[in-house]
Amino acid sequence: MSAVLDHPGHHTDDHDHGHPHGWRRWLFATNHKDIGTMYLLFSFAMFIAGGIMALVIRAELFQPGLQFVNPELFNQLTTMHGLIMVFGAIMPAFVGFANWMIPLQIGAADMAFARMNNLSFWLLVPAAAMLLSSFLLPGGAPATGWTLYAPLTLQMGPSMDAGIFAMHIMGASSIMGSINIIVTVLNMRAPGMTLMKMPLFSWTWLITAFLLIAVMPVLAGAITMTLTDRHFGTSFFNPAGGGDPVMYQHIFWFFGHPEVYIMILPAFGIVSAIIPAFARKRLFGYTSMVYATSSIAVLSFIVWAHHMFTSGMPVTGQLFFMYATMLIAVPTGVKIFNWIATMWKGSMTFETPMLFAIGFIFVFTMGGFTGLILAMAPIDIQLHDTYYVVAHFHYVLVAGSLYAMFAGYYYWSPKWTGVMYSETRGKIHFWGSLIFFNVTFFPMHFLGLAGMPRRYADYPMQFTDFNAIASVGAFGFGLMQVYFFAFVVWPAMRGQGAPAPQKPWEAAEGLEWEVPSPAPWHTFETPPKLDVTATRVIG
Amino acid sequence: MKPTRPLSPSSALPSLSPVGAVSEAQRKANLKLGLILAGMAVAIGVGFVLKVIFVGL
Repeated sequence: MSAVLDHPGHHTDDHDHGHPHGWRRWLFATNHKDIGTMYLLFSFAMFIAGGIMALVIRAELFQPGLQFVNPELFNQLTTMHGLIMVFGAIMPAFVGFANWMIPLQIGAADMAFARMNNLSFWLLVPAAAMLLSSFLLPGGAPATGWTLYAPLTLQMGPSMDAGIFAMHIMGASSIMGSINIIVTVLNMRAPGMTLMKMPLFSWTWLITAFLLIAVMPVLAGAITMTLTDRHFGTSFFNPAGGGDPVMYQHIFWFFGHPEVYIMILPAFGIVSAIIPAFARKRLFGYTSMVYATSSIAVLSFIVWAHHMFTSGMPVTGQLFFMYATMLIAVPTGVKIFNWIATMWKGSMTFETPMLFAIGFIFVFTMGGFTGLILAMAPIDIQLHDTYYVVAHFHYVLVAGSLYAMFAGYYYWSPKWTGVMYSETRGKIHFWGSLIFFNVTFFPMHFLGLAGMPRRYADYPMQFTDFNAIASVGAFGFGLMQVYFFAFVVWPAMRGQGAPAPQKPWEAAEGLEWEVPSPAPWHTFETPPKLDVTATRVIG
Repeated sequence: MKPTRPLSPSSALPSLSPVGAVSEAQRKANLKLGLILAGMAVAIGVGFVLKVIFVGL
């Protein structure tokens, strides 16, 4: 029984004390659950915006020649698609999961800094608006690629300044969110919830938050230097003034590679929660999972230049970054092994969260293998900036991060909304997404191996067939996500569906299942007394 | 008791979620750790730029 249910009268007067209603509830939100919901809805809106850009790109690439957009707009679309998906969709979505689940998982009443939490979210909205509205500025949106490479950034119109300002705001939001998460996890765990008993989702987010604090300021520094190069006469990256554009690449990727892990470590945490629940076994190798996650985070700081093998560097440098990158396969392999070992001889069932989790393992591992291939400097020099790279990072970020988020949604939404989703609809969403995802991105491996470069609006006839297949897949994938919102999320938001029990998954473990469904407005107002495993409330 | 100063704007905001759930000691500990982390972020950002300016990459 939960702490809330055990003390139905406890602090009853406080439940509605100052509890705002209507639009004030959302604008002045300090409740972690409300802020989590806003993050998730915001990120889904950005996912749709970025997705529409992707569909315009794929429509243009359906056949050779220029059909719908000119090359300038095409470059703007690829740039904005990347920026919106990375900074507007994936990162805020995981922060939404963190807001909802971390206090519930560790037995805390709320996030440590509730008002800063509100500010973190509401900063995102004007930043995203500024980024999106840069399409309307003279010269159009930034067209530099999401990496914002110099000297292209120095040649862009005023939209570049809007983009830089938006990135600054989003970075500040991320740093505040990270501070909030670290302080919450380190200072506000319930008595008995030691670090090594903490659910892996909270663990992976703790490590992710440290990564964010370490690298977001570096990105902020790099784009500030870009800004001063553009307007204040400096020449950090401007070759005309003695600056070095390659230096920008180093700085960007010092941020950019840990950023990749920022977008995947929380996904590992979600999958680590789901697989034991549906295999009906304890997670195999909990401790090694924690150390593997930490190792991945540490290694992420020493591999950045594998993105730059073609920018020119000494052979010793190439070898160092090649071997360091390959080293990451070891802790990642530990995690894959542990998930499979958890399933081994388990009493498995295949509800939608488990399907997405298993789908994640299969398809993310494919993305991992192509990552290993790209880590080899001699091969990377051939494949750099081809569609092979596009296929690789979409296998990691769509089949990795996004599938884990879908898995997490289906797993935890009964706790959020108080209603069960339709299993049939969930399975349609899973199989549709899995099939269309592979139809979209698998052919891109062949396109890349055949030498088709990325970020071009046109291509020679020889690439037509695979591009046509990829475009059909992309529209199918987009359709499945509209289906997901219309037939899974929207009904749940309206409370349609069978009432969810307190613990809908019989073998699920963790404090989030100790509170009723939907989770009450306030939970764990008094620190709960936990059993020895820190997974049950006993008083 | 008559207030000695006007209510600060933050007092006018809705209350934090669970009233009384966070003790003063807890609040201070949170603030201390938060400031340390914020200081880390500022030091990394500013330090990185200064290093690039004065030392190079």
